[in-house]
Amino acid sequence: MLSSAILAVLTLLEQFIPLLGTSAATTTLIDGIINALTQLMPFIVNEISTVYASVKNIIDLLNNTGTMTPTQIATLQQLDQQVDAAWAAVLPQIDPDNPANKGTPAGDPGTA
Amino acid sequence: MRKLLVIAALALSLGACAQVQKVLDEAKGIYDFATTATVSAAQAGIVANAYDALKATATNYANYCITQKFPQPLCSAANRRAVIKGVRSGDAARAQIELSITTGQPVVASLYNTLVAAIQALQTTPISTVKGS
Repeated sequence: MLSSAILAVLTLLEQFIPLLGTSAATTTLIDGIINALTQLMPFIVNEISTVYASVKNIIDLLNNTGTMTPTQIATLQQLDQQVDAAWAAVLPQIDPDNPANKGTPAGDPGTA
Repeated sequence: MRKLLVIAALALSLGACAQVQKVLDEAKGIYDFATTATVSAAQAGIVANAYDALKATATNYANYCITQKFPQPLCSAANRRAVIKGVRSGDAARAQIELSITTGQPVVASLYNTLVAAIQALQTTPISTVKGS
């Protein structure tokens, strides 16, 4: 249910992208979209990874409009970092070569 | 009037589904290695998009392994090593081309090809078997 709701929102946002112009109102609209994506990102990262592709597409489209401010670009880069952080958080726990995992289910039985 | 609104809503919904499916297809598609010296930022952007989607899926795979206490053979050490190797390779390439993407500059083909190789390597791992949605 959560997946469906987020997917619907993302789809709606995607359809707005081609309609964006170059006015001040557009800047405000892009700010709103980025804020919405920022708020959705924790759910996307944790719950519905495949929808993340859709989010990235939106981010790419926003980058290609040529109307983004440095602040907006920085915000998008923070989104990228957030997703990277999700991986960084789990990596030590699944790395069979992490010394901390030796002798645990996460370790490598072949080298225990 | 009400019928027209319903039809419009349905059409919008169907169109949206097709659009999302197209995005997902692009993100999960198979990409060719570049034979030119450089590729456009748009091309690199699509591949970077696909890589990020796969990386998020890899995170889901990791979470699955952790919460399910590393069931075998899905979460075997060999499988996890393959996923980690693919992500590390992809991260390195993506970091180098990200600047080119955001500035709309051509990307060196060797970097692009490295990212494509990382995507293809990740696609051979079991990460897609535990997708979240």
